Amino acid sequence: MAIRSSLWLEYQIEANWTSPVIFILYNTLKPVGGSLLLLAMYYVVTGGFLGGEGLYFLYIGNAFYMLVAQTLFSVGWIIHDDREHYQTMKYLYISPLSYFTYLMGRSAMRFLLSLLPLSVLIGLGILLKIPYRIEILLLIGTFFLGWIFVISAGLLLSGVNMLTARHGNSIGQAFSGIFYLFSGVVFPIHVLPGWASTAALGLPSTYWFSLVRRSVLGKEVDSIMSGFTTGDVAVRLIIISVLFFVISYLTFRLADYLARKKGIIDMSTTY
Amino acid sequence: MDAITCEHVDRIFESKNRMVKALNDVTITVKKGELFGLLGPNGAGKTTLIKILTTLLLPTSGEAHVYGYDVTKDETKIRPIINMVSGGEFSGYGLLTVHENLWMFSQFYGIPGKEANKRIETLMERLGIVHMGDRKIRTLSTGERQKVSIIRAFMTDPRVVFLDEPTLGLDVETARLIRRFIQEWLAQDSQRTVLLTTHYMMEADELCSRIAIINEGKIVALDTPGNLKNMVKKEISLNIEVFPEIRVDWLNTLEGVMGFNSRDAGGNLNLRVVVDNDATVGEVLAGISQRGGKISYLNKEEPTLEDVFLKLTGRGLE
Ligand SMILES: Nc1ncnc2c1ncn2[C@@H]1O[C@H](COP(=O)(O)OP(=O)(O)OP(=O)(O)O)[C@@H](O)[C@H]1O
Ligand SMILES: [Mg+2]
Repeated sequence: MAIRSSLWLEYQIEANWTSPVIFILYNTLKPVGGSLLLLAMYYVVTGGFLGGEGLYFLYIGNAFYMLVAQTLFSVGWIIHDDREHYQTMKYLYISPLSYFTYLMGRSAMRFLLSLLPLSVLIGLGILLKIPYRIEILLLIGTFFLGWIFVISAGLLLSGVNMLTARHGNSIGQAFSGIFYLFSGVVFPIHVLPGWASTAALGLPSTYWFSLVRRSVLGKEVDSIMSGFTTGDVAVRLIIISVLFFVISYLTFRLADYLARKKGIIDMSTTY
Repeated sequence: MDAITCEHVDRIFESKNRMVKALNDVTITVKKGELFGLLGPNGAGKTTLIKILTTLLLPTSGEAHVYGYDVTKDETKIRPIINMVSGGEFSGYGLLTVHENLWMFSQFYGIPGKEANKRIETLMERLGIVHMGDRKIRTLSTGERQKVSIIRAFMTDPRVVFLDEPTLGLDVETARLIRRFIQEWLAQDSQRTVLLTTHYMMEADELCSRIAIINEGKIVALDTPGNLKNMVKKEISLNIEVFPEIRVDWLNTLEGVMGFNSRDAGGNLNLRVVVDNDATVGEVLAGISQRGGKISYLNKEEPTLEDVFLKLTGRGLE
């Protein structure tokens, strides 16, 4: 019941401020525009459009990255908005629903809403002659694991937001930026300096994007990641995601405790 | 078991170069069925105490319990049985309708959908906003929003309700409606309890079975409104209107003055002074004319809670 209401609230806040048509356009044009820009840059850099493995890598990585970035971007605003804009934070906080559950609900809905522009991007990929070999079961599992990892990142972000006033979303963007650069989103991790590719192997996102390519393109092109079997990647992703979730959860709980101790649950900086 | 107990509660706020003792050794007990008032000027610590009792804030030291549950450890037990309303704020998801806002909160409390709708309907009717269900929250006036806030809190059928200046900034009529609503709600069930903060004397006097007067984090008196007023029976409360406006800080040093409060009344000065003997009355009046003030109105009044406050703290409430 309660979790359904937080899903519903996220839908209302993200989607229901305008007509469905405008929402779909807005929700889709932004990521699609971003992808086209990236393609243009690819064209300029490589002087060619079609047929490169690099293009598939980049296009698919970028499309799925949008799911991560959009969800984190939204989650990054929830606490500040509830606390300062809607002034509902303290009322949510003292309700029997745990604020944690509430955040889970809202990020889940944001994740779901981002699946729409993702499907549009996948569709556009057909025009670019991307050689899809979609393994549907693997893809569904990948979505599920991706949701866990994105929610964990969202919790970590929320913990930080709980303790800070109005840094808005810069922390969220820094967060997304790490995943963008160090997880093989638009370029393989083997091009990273040694220390960075080692670090990349500790991030859940690296395995997730590898699973994405395996479930959509049917293969892995990153030379480091192709050393692992799909099963290896999945197991590693599950283990690291669970660890990441636990760390995020504990961080959030700690931040929550500190916020209660400092008296900033309902802090207001908008004098 | 009592509805609320606080034992030696301290709360210190520390920032870079400032340390505020917002609550200083607060000990109170609120029995089930009571409408308990917390009366104090700005910055007295009223909101701080409410935040501690509603599990939003941890005390620095001391213990506080709601229905026997410890506010620092048993928050999951406390939350389902309490609710709160704060005055003077714009709370709610502006793009949702009144009904959607309320319905959503009812779901966070696990109230079955049908029952929730029934409760929302009844309360909207009671507070005179039954036709506003489909209005977006952001289109409501301050008073209408406050009524929605009241419904949000009371629809969950809480055992203890915390009201932090619930009528702040509302017009007389809306404030009266809300006060009457609170009284009726309490009368319906002897187990219901309200802790109310206010800096309106009359509100406290009219509503509360007992009042704690709080000043600079300390409880300086705690009794029924009647007994509190008895505390100033021996004193003399003067209501003086002076023109033009003159400085009154010299009253601070005049012996026999227990406390005073002055308000600007359109070029005139409205002065309330509590003194402890007749001789001082003469000295106050002489002091006013020495400073060029003319007295246009003078009355010796029945003691009010405000006089209690003036006597206890030496300064006014507003
Ligand atoms: N989060 C905080 N950080 C620092 N100081 C605080 C904080 N919250 C409250 N204070 C300080 O604690 C004191 C008590 O504040 P509180 O809000 O409890 O007063 P109040 O009685 O509710 O006043 P008002 O009538 O203005 O609402 C004030 O001096 C206030 O500045
Ligand atoms: Mg206050």
